[in-house]
Amino acid sequence: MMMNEQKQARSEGSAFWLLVPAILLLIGLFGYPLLKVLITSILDPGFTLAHYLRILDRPIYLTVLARTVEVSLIVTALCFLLGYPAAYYLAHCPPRLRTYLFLLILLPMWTSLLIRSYSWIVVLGKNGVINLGLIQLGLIAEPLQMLYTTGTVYLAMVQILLPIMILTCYGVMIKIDQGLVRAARVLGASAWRAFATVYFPLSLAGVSTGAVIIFILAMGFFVTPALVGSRQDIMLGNLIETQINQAVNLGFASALGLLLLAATIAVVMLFRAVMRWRFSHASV
Amino acid sequence: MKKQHRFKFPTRRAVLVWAALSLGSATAFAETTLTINGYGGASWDAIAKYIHAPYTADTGVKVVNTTQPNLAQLKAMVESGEMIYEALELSTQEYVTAVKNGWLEEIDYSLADPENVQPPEAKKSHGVVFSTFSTIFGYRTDKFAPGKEPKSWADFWNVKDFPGSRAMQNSVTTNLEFALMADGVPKEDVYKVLATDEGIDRAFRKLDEIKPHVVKWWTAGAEPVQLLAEGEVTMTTSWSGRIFDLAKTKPVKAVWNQGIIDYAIMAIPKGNKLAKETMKYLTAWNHPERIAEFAKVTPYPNLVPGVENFLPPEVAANLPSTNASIQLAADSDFWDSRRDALLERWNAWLLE
Repeated sequence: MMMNEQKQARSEGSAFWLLVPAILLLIGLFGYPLLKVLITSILDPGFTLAHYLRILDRPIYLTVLARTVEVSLIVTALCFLLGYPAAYYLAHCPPRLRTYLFLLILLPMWTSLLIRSYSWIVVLGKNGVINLGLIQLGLIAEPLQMLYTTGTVYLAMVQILLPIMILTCYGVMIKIDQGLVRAARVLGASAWRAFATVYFPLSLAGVSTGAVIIFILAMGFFVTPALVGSRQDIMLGNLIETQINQAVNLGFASALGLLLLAATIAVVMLFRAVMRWRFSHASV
Repeated sequence: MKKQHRFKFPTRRAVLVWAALSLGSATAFAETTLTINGYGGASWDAIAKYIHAPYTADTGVKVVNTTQPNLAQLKAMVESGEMIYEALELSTQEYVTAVKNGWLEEIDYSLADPENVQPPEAKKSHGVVFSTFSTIFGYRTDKFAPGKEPKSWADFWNVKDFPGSRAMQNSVTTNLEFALMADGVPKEDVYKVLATDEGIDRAFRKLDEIKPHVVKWWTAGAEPVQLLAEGEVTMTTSWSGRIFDLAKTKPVKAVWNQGIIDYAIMAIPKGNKLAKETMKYLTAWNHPERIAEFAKVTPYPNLVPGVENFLPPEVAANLPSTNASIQLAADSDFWDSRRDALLERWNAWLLE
């Protein structure tokens, strides 16, 4: 345990080299393309802000951006509401059962996005399981239009992203010292109060990590909304996709891509600021 | 003990030498090998087997397929004069852009079609139509009484006499044309009407009518197939080859009348030193019996006449090329000039 300063410095120095491959990979595969995107969005062929002015000039782009943020926030909230209790159960259930439950949770992650999206047709379609069941039970006469609605978009996106929330929350929850909760109970806190003032704040790190990852991923969704949504469920990703594949307007697509990136960063930073504020107040 | 292990990056020179060597090996073969760049997939496997292999047997010229044409790459090739392929596949849209920018060789038809078998519409100034595909609509035959099947875009729009959900492609191209034909514009006049702002407004007004009945604006080509197969919709627009495949197993029929036919074009990059050999290679596409073999696998043949003589009637009846006369040919010049603005209006219209 006694480590002199020189030794420590050296071990940190050599540990830094472990990061180098990842940093090089990020510079090459993320930094450089991002720079290219930035350049593409302002050179066409000379310097121009036309693409950005177009975004501000036509209402559709900011409308769709607001919608994208809204959908992503709702999906993140739904993942928290469904994932947090599930993670809690997993962290406190018998280990053998846990193994099977994890298998169930991870199973959707191994299935292709396209197949998962299509499988909703079998479940929610006019001749799908739910509609046929309801008709057989005599609850409805005509099949309900459940597919291709905004509700289906939430359903499908939550199904895809939920495991992330469960895994990040579980990872933090399993490390929470149960002695702290017991201590609160011994000192007279109700079960709910012990949870709310001791357990929940300790698990927030998992929630916020999961929420940030899910929000970032949700902002970039476009295949699932296009496959299961209504005509109004356009995400910014869909507009970028049509600019690339139909309009072949790479400059404008790049500008839209950077808008999406900026909006994502802005919301994540806002979220972190709120979390930090909450923590600093909680400790007072 | 001090031993330094340093990873040496390959020097610039080493990279250049390596690149030159690989280019050199390509030119060494170039006398007998032509590289054709296409979008790949199943149709290119069929092309290799039924078009290129017989051509190699006839002439000794080897033909290699590579994938993913890309206009930016074409531009770079033409500017540098270094060809990495001798011919490439272009959509009509890309073809218009490439011709406008002077990136393509003009085709000498005394070399590409000495026996004059290709019809005039296949012989573009800077490329040859080597594949056709259509956007048409398909419907569930079990939903309509015999003799009361939909036959036109007017019927597709008529939800009173032809009830049931619809699906259409999430695309402004083709849908504006369909809307005008549904509104009674003869196919010959569609692009004349679309050339005016009033014509475009008219198309969008007509689309307003069908909008509430379209449960799905599809984006992937497999979606309309799924929708018809599961009975989610009774009618949907679709790419032509997909409906024909589906009709083998489900009560589904394709309507070719008033469909929109579009082309894939084979073109030669400007400055290609093997331009002459490549133009001769284009004769590989002039044999109806070989095109027929290709069409059996991939129902998107070119326009060379007589293909139907080598095909079973039900296959011949379901090809874009054999139905060309009852369809409208996509006008890529129109779309090239208007696409950006119309795409924006389309997306805004979907959100309304």
